[in-house]
Amino acid sequence: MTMMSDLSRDLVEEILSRVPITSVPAVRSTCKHWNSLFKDPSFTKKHCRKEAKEIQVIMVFDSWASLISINLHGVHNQKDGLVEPPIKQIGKLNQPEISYVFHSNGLLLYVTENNNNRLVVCNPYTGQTRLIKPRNTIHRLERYGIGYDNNNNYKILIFPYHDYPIRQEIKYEIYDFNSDSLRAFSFSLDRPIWRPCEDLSLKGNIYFVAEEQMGKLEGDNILLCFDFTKERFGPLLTLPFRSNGFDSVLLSAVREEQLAVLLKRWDAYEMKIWITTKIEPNAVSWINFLKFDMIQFSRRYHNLNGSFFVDEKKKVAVICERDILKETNYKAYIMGEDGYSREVNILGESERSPRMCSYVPSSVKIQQSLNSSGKRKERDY
Amino acid sequence: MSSNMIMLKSSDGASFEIEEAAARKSKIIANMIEVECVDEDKAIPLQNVTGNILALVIEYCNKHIVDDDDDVATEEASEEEEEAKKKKVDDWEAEFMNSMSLETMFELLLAANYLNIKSLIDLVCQTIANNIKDKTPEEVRKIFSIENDFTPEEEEEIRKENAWAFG
Repeated sequence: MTMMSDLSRDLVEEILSRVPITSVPAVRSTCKHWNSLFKDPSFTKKHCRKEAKEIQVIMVFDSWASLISINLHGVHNQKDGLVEPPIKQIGKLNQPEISYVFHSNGLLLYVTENNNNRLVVCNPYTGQTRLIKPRNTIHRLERYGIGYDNNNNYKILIFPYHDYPIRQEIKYEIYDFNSDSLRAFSFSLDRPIWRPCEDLSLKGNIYFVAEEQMGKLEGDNILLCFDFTKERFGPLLTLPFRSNGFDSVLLSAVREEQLAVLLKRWDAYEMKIWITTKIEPNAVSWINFLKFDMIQFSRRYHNLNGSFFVDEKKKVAVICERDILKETNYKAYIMGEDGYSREVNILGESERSPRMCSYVPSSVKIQQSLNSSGKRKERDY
Repeated sequence: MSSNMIMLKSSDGASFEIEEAAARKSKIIANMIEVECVDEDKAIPLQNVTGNILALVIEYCNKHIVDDDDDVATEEASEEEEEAKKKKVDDWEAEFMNSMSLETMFELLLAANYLNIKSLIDLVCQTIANNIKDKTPEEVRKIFSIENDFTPEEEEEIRKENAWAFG
């Protein structure tokens, strides 16, 4: 009888490189040989490349983190109810009290409210984790982002809560994985800004939307990059439109390569999305991507506080937003050209709005610190 | 449409007639035809493939040769047509693999690998991988007759590593 054990190592790898990321724990727990594959960079690279074809999103909702897959293949041909939903939860993190998540190149930075507030960096693909203790206490209102410099050294950006909202002088701290140390910085921007929000990581750096302050008047929204190589902010960058603090502006990452920005003016139903053709800490250029009306599920004077994701090839956007009729209920809306729209009820109810970020699996290693005895720790947590 | 027919012979002596264009899905057979080591009157012996598995391989190749022709004819097809066509192929493949036993899948995979038919390798590997989805390690071991060779310490180690994975 022909069995798995009759297959060559290459064929076993071909099969196992096709299991979804949520099956990796079970596959690794099967036997030594299968577990060893996940320590082999040539196999993990192949597997992650295959996995990256779908849009995956991490969502923190109601204190739990889950993995959502967005599969828009054939979305234009499908009729409701006949096929698998294009957006579905495919996995859940078995850790309670998660309050925040930030993604960079396959690594996730979580804030957990379990026991004391604390930071955990993990690679859900390799299972590697590291507990970060920048200070003895972590304030609930501190904000965090993870990224890496040109030498692939991972760092965490921390905005202390008392310096928020920020003015021209920005104070921040950087936690360095290699030295396990925290350094404080102060940086003066070209012009004063406030309310930096909508932060996400792209190609190692963090991008924010902020509002430029022009005297006493409401200023324009701008884009700002935190450059982990230089460990400081870049110049204020332009968005492809003029908008102010009343309008809703959301950011999203496209295949970890480009940035997308969504605009909904405070007094309009229409939403517009642009994608970058070039994005660097000190330079950006944009092209139009999609525009659509959300009359059926958005109020005119309604601020967005959800997230969005785009499929460049399908020319489709997924907007995750609260239900117009029931504000604690969150839904996903698939929006396309020529008035195409579809509602998917996958998110559920929560008092707090979900925190979502796109996720691309990778086998990147988390640098472990040298502890006091000089011995490299296998795992801090 | 006239097309050259060639003969294939399985390891257990069964002969199959197949269009050359379909047989060319196998890089090994295509290579044999290129270097003219195919005698028109003689069947190509495939020593590693039994008749029942070769029949499945031929069914797959025949189906996909038609699809490849379609591709050429409708190069300018709209995205929707492309998607509809892809769905048709997907449906056929799902039906083809449906109810196939795991043992047959392994034999078909070995045959596809021996004959070097990339798309069939992909299809069978994906179908076998789907058998792993949403299963516990115990179930996976049972399905694939794999022995648990971990020590309790190693199991505990992996369990810890999986604590922050999505399950």
